[in-house]
Amino acid sequence: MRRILPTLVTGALVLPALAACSTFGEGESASGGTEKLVLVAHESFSLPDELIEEFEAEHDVDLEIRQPGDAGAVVTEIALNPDDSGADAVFGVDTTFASRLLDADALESFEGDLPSGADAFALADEDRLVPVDSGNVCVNVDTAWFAERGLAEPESLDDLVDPTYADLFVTPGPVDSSPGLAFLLTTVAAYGEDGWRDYWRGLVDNGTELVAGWSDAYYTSFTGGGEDGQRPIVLSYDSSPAFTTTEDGSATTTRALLDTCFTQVEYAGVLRGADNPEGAQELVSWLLSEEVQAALPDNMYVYPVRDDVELPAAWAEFAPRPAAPYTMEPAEIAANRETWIGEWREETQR
Amino acid sequence: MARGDAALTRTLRLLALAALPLGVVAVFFVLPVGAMLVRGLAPDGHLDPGGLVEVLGRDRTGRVLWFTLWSAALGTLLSLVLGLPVAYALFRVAVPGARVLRALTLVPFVLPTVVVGAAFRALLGEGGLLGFLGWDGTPAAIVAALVFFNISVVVRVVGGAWAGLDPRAEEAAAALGASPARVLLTVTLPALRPALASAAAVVFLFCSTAFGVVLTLGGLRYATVETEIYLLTRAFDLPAAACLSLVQVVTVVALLAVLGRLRGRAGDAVPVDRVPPRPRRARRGDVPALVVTGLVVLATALPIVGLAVASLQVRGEWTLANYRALDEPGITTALDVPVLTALRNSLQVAVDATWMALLLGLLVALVVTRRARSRPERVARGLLDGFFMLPLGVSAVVLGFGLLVTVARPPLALRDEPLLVPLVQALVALPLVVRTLVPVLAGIDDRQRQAAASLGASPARTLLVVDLPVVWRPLLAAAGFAFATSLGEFGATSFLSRPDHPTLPVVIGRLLGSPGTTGAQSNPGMAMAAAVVLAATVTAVVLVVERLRVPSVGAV
Amino acid sequence: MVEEKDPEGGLRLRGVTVAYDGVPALADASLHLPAGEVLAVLGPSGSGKSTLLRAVAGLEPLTAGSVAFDGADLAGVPPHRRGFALMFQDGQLFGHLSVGRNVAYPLRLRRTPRAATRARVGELLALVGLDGYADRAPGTLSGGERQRVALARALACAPRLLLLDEPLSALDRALRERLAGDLSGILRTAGTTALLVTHDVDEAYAVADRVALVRDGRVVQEGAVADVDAAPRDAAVARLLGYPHVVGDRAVRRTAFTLAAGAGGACTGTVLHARATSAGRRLLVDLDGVGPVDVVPLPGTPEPEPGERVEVHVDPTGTAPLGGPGR
Repeated sequence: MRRILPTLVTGALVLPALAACSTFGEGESASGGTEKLVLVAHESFSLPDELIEEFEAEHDVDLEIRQPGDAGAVVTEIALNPDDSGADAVFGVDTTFASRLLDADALESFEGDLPSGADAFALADEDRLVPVDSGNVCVNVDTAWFAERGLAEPESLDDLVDPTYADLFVTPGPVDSSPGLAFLLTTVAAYGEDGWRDYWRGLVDNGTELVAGWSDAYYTSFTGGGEDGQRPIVLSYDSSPAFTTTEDGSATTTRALLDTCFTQVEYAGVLRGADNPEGAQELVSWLLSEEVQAALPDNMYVYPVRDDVELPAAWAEFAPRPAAPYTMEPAEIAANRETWIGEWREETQR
Repeated sequence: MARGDAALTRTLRLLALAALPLGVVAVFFVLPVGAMLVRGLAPDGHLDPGGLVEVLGRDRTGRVLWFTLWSAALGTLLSLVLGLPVAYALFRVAVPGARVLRALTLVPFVLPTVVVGAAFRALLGEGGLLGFLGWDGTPAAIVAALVFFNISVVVRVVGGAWAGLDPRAEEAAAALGASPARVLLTVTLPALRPALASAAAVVFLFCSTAFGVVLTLGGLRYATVETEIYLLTRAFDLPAAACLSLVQVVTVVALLAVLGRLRGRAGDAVPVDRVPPRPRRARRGDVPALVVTGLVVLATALPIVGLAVASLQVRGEWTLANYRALDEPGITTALDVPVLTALRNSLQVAVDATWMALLLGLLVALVVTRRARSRPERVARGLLDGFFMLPLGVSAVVLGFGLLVTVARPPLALRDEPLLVPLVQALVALPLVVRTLVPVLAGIDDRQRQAAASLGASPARTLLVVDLPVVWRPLLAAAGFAFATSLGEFGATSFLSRPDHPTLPVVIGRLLGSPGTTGAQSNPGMAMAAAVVLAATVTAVVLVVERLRVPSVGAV
Repeated sequence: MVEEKDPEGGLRLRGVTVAYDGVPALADASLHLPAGEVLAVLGPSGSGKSTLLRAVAGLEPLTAGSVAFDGADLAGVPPHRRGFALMFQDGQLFGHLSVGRNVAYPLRLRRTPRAATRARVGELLALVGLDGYADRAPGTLSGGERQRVALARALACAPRLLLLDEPLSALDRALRERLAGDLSGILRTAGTTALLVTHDVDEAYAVADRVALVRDGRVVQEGAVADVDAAPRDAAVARLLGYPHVVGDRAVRRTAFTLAAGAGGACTGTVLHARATSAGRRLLVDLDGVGPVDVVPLPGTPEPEPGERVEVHVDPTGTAPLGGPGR
């Protein structure tokens, strides 16, 4: 009996509190009459609410964004049902995954015009994949760490196999990491089909740490990213130095090595099974608009493809772009990717 | 003739009870997983056995299978060996603070694997507190993480049974001359066998389908069937992925068959009609168990303390900025909503997932524990029991993509249904709920139900007066498990997560996936702070739930 | 074996106190059980008698006092080194072992050779009347059979002291009476020193040589069965010993009241009603100053009607004076 009262009291307090927590009755407030437009995007897709509301108002649509995971998951979801994926447009397909959508014949041609600057990123003879943004995967260094030790910072890919920099580099592998795959492609592009495996052997012999994902490398192992990192050289992006500023924002503590970069382009496209193809075309055009392009750096850490929008101040100051990054055609990547990953495993996992 | 009618009525009633859970599992589990298997194995509408043989014959498949088996077996064994003394100390001995410690054992359960991976690497990596072990990137780190996650299952499942065990059999053995070690080996452990078998099966399933920790801690060198299915799916090698999924399903079914045999004739009944003994004061003989418990608690706490410390630092300085940032919208461009909003979303989803799991689990438990009148009926109940364990043993990636290509699309088109995510999480929690309720329901003397029926109670009323009073406390325990499972579920959820309603694990993943130490706070610091908040939330909820039940009634 | 007169032989408790959270369940208990005898500890539930048994077995730490056997203090000796055996109310057979392996359990602990074990198990099962039960599972046995197996197990390695916790209470009356006789015979045949805890005076008398009465954690009276029965210490002890009534300073058995033939009875009362019992007809009489009691009617005379005033005779052999010695 003694136990019952407190039990009842606790129950009386907890149950309504829990009931209030249910998602029941929280249905979508469907605005009647407006057409639905579904965009599938990767998990990093993010734009200011005001921009999205503006687009919805202007085109009288209800924009629904689905984010099933990273670019790989986006492509897989669409490729599983290329005829009718239940969505109208896709965003976030990067260089390394682009050909799968083309092979699956999941896309329609984009009928709009590319803005100035975008042409440079477009694929030859291909109007189904529309370049929206680009980024470069580059080796980054913790400048403070090197300054403290009076050691010269490395500059090139070759420096990474130099014993001077033994045990200082950490990179995600290509197996489950998009930048990791980009770095593998960098080495293939730089050293050729015949040389890249030797280079990786050199990296392993020089004590390079291989981890699963970008955050494992950047936040756990890199001295400039985490609190307990031990390695001052890491694989990241050319924009990363803009996010390692001092608290007052006057300086950055890291630097991207601009001779080690590989360009990844992210594409958008209109899906073949779209219920709302006009809306999808408008959506892709909107992604290329000045407002959206200008919002990309701050929201998704990527560079716009337009050359007529202004970059954020910190970017302009701390994140210069490489002049001549490595690149590779999506078709070539698609043809060799699994083979290269297999060979990479052999080189690094003995 | 009349007998035939009665049997038919019984069968129909059984089917009616089982209909809802069977339907839900069929639509939200069998259909999606089946769709993925069909796509992989029979892409053109006809089965291609050659492909199956080719995949099974690959060197890599053999290596992956072998690694999965031995790492899961070792993880299960260590979880049992280390979990047993803890279960004993926390449920059988009057240890100060046992209630809080019991609640804390659920914390590893809810921590997103990305966070645990980071915490483990911070601990085991170069310069980490335990870096000298050289475990980073080795199977040792993977197994350690598996044990970290699963000790709590052993402690709660076995501890619950242990607390209800009549100590007099042990005392009789001791008085007959058995040393404490002999008593443990010859009396206690055999009596705990059903609970041990249940715990071992669940832990083995968790271990063999572990995903995030293997990817993060395996240093890319080690792959399990689960990670391999994930990578194969990403590489769009659907036939190979389907083939490995099939291997997974077969393994799970085989394991469940073994479990059924291990549980033995007595089933997994735990007597419930007596008052469980009070935990007794510690004695000298308890010292080894208490020491092991202390060490396990310490070892479990290390990574958690590590991430708490990381949450309190920015640029090497101590600060609360990461916590202050949790409620500020737009503080980091990595997030569309403040972290606390995501926490609220997570709690809402968890509440729904919990009641769904409990409803389904209760129905399943009722169906499988009613005394079978015939052999075919017994077999049918046994099969049902195993059927509802399946969601534990199948790849979250396969389930996730399967859901996307089936229920998320017309004609069902449930993708935007807010209850879809909790429903899927409820399915993942269902096996734990069933395993918690079955031993208790099986322990109810059927004569009580007969007595109620003879007094004129309808079957529904019998349920209300006989079963419910006994089962409501273990039901609360199961609620704790389901709640924690839902809060921590990431695999299948990430496919279905609604961008405008991200859950906390999703937000934590996003924080860790984007660069940013620009203001007073840092993205990884905020991720760690959010994980600490998640851990604190689940501990508080479990403490409240434990308050609602008399300690240690039921199996968990 | 023949040293029963040795004052230090057998079990001796001196001032034993056991407290749970500071509340004593057993206070200052002193007892002596000479070797070869059977002592019944008799008390109502919650009186502390089970605590006493557990303290002797070493399952409860003593708050004060000492337990000694054959003159050796047992403080610090764990249960499994005391050479005792403990048998519970419901047997506590190990459900995962067959009957034979249950009985063999203590033998296996002592690494008895296989052949000797098998022979001894057969012998013990024969002793308790369960020949041929060795391969049965405990779950298939009746309550009485289970108790017999438990007894055989407890006797298997000839314990110095057998501790019995309400060994027969869970059984039905007929079985209990039969088994009580068997138990007594078996204990005497084996010459076992035994301590029996029970709330049932019949069980105690049937099995034990001596009896100790426990109430509120204290031993209130102790002595040979006949001595204690002949002189209960006080009314409460008398009731525990099966005297339902106390008239003045005497305890009176249920069967001691008979209807007096005519006048001259010891007391008077009013008939409430008559009823049949297994021992013949009884009158319920509201005895003046005592209350309702069962009275044996006179054979061959018409039964008095309810409401009638009657005189009642008390058979002196069915009474005992209160105020017997405590120990």
